[in-house]
Amino acid sequence: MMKKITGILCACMLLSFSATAAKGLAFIHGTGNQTDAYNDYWTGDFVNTVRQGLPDSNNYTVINCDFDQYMWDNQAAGCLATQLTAFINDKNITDLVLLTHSNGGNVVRWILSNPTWDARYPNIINRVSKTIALAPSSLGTPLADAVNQGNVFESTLGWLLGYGSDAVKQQQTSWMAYYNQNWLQGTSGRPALPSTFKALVGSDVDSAIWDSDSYCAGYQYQVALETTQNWLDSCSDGFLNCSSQSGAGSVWFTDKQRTSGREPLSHQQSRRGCFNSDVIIRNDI
Amino acid sequence: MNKNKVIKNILSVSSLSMLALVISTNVNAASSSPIKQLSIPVVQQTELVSIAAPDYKIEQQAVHFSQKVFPKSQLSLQAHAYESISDEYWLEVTGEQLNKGLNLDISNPGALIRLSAKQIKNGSSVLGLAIDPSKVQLLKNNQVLQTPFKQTISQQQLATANVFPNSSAMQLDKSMGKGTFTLQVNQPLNVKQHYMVNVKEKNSPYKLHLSIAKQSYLAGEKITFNSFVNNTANKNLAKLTTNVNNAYIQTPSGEKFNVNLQKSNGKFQVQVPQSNLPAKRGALYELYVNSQANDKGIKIRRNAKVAFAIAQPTARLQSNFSVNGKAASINLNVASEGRYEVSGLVYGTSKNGTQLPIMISRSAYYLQPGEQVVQLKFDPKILAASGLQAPFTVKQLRLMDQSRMALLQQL
Repeated sequence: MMKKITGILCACMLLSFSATAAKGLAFIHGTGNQTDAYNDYWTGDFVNTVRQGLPDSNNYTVINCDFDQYMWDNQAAGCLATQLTAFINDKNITDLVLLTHSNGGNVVRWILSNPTWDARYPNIINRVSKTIALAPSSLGTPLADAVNQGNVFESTLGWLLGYGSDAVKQQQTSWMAYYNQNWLQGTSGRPALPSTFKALVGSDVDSAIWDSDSYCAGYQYQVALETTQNWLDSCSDGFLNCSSQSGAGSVWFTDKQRTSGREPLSHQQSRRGCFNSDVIIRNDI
Repeated sequence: MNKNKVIKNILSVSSLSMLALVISTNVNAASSSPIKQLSIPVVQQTELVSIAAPDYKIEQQAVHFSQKVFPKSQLSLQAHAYESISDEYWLEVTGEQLNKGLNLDISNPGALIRLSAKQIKNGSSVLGLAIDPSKVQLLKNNQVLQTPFKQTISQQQLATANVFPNSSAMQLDKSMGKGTFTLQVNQPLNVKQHYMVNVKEKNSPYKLHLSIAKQSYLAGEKITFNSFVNNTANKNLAKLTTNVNNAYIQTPSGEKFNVNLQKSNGKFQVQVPQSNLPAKRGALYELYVNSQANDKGIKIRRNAKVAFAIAQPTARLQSNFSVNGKAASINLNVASEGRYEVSGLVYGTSKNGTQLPIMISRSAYYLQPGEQVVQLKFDPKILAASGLQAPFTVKQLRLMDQSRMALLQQL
């Protein structure tokens, strides 16, 4: 009899725990100083599709920080920690999924790799179950090196690379090699990250004018991104080499393996849910 | 004999540093756990420096964190070499030079030429100064070439990607071949306006290799690097003789210092100059190399760069330690107020006597100058779950100055 009561109590406690456990999702943008990333960076269509993968679709937050700064800056990782902590506390989040794009993956890796840097970091790290990194710039990009050739640009208007911001300096290839080797986890030979960090890799830019698929997320962007391929490998999304996108954590999949029509995802398209990628992400949350 | 004293005596064999710290989980009790002999390498001691505390916000609370490591992990936290390989070059010119005509060496058919108006820091805006690619002509032997470009990319087109501001580009038609060309801009330019000219030769067999032994240095350390141009189409990857080779170092604050390229034991060595100008935390130094070589009459120009960090020695791990079952007590000599992290890879012993990694442990503190004792705390849950036994060791001990984002010691 006593055993039975104990068993019922245990079951109730487990049910009670699962009832209070809350899964949350944070959308974390890439390089740029965002004040309305919901509209300007992700678009509502993408956010509202992906968050349907949550048990409670209201448990999401869209981060707005100044990722023109170095990833460790208080306006970058510090701002991200502030907004994630507020989200965790407001929604009692116990299972946090992070969805990043581009340099947002580096800012997240900064927090995951430097738990003692900020007293708020351990509480965040302990709640993160996984990071889905869309086209993360884990090993930097030769384009960032090219942008910095002898130039001193102060404008920070760019959503993609910015114009010579600190974040762009940081994403130069030999700079990222130093940060990966000394301050970040998850790359080859380095300690693994404390939770899953899996990348969706964009492998090509399709800008043929007769191909209507080029128009997803803006045809004019595709033309420019094809130009930047001159600095990149044959496998790239127009901004990042596949090797950079695959450089930390694990590869979830490479675009053509799962997108509709086996279409590639350019750097612009990977944050806009093109070719059913939003549904694929939603189903993985 | 007091066990702590034993450890202190063993470790005091070296006045410099240590490689592995052996601990016992029950050292406070009347434990019989043996303490292994330590391997103690000699590490160059550097004079510590006293620097004012940074004025930006820095965490003040002590924070501890341990992360489980899988037993089969092959971790190497030691410094790595880095190599940059370049198939491009760039130069800074004036509007006057571009209007008169600028000689460009093309060593691979189909090169891309990018022209960017340069913005000087705190200078006037360069918007509107980009070059219209339809106003650019290419000459060879003083003859204007007809349709030399396979593609031209305007400022407006490049701006849609927000990658290259105030820039335009032209891709040469492969039929133009190699050699020295003259690029001339027929659009009236401000004679004093500076432009960057970038020649990108994707898939060129000619590469400049620039390698550096490691990317993290202490102030005063010499930097060793190597640099050469080769032809990767050559089966032997033969190195080409360089006619021009110059280098400079750019500090995080933007100062430039020329480097005297003298080889020692087959490699270049350079003492990095001290810069007193303020720089942002975590920004890196850069070593630039500009090379010119010849291959059967073809002139090859290449530029490359690598980044590295130089840390001011603001604190040091001391050679005497004490331990208990939950943490290692580590003595630090702190010369500059700031936040410091000690970390290490904790190993335990399996039943068959093999040492296996258990966790990476880190502890950070805000410290004042002076002799300090800090605890590198271990996670007892991870320790217990590992099933591994004493003796435990801590390897790959590191000391970081988080205030100044500097790696101080890695043993």
